[in-house]
Amino acid sequence: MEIKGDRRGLRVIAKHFSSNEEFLKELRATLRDKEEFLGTASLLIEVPTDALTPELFERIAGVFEDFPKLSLRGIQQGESQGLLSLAERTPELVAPPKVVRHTIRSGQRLSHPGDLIIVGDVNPGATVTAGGDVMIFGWLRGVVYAGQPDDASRTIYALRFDPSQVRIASVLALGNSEGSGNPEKALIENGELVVKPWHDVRLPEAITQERGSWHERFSSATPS
Amino acid sequence: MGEAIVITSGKGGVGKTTTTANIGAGLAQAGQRVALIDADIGLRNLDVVMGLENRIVYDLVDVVEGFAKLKHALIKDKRFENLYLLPAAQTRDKTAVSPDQMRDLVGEMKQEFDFVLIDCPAGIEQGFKNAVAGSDKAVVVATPEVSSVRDADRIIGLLEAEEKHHPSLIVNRIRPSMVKKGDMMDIDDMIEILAIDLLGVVPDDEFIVVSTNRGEPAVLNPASRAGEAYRNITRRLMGENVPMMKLDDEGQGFIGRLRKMMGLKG
Repeated sequence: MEIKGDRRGLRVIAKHFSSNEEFLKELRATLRDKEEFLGTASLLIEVPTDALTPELFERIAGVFEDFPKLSLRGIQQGESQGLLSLAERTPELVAPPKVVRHTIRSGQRLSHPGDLIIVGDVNPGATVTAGGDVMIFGWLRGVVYAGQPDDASRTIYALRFDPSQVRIASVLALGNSEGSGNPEKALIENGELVVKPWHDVRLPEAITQERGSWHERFSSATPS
Repeated sequence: MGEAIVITSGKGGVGKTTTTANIGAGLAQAGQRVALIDADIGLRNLDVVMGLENRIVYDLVDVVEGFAKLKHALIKDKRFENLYLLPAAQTRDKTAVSPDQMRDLVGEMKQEFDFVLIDCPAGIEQGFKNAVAGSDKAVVVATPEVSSVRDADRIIGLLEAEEKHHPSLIVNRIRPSMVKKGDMMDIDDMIEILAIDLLGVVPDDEFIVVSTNRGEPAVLNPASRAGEAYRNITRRLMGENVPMMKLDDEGQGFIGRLRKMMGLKG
């Protein structure tokens, strides 16, 4: 069990445990060991993606009751974005996130089995396919498929969202040309693909690590 | 050692050949030694636009196949001593030449000329690959239409994959009055999608039709708006920093037209 700190705060990352009992035991041991170091921290627990069940959720919360100074900020599955509700289960992605730092032009195809981050535009006539989420720090006007082939928990994000077509798992939607010009995201709710404002625009760590080069490419890709 | 520039677009009919002829004539007028290559084998046009069609004896395929020497196939222009055309073969097709052969040919021509302009055929197949093979730089011609911009984007993607052509853009046939009304894509929209440097903007000009039919490039006519735009592009290619032409004075009325006829800038 590993504890990591970043902008989002402290994360406890659990990997490779054979049973929930073993995991909970180890979590309890880790927290006890590090109690002094952690102080009054608020923790995010990251569990392997196939492990999160409502029962486990409650039992993790139960462990925290034994450590009144610590608080449980959330439970996260693997490397996915944000917190997941209990009903959702996401199979683990087979590949780490991939960052592409240029515009995808007409006729070009990009596909990646994991999450895909594009710093640049996706122009009309381009096709982007990912097993996980797709984040576009630029103008999306092409075709994006996320969560391929069958992961409906995935999201498509874009700073300007005017796709010609988007698809998450097997749910497909055609774009219209009335984008708001603001950051938006597409996700599946009740079996339907919906587009919502993307408020908490943050650059993933994979990008901020090389901020200098990012800024240069980004500003040339979208001069507005 | 000269510079080889391919004029390309993806889409047909956007003005590649007209642009090649005009830039070529413009550079020649400015005293540069210029060769034009018509790479559109099987659909040759550049000779007609240059008014040189009845002088063709040998063509590009003859040279590549060793049937004729380059110096025998090059046609000297009627107007300029320092402007030559290597015509395409009309009876063959794009497979008659390979990218390697084009690279050698263009390399040889760069020894003799300051500028080698290659008129690329429409499409992204072998003809495009041939035309691009020997070039150092690419000029992408696009009209303010969605289809043309889409194809230009495709072409730029292919050029970028080779990382050597540094494509720049010529926006052709823009009509400022339509742009103003919102009926035509404006230049900023095009640049935003294509994200490459703008080399020039050529206004829609009826005179181009006349000049194409007559075989007289518009760049040589001081009264033509398109000609003026091509003169500016020529100067930019020679390294001068020329500001973009103002386009908002279309429909300038009688006085403006009179000034234009007298060759004064509008």
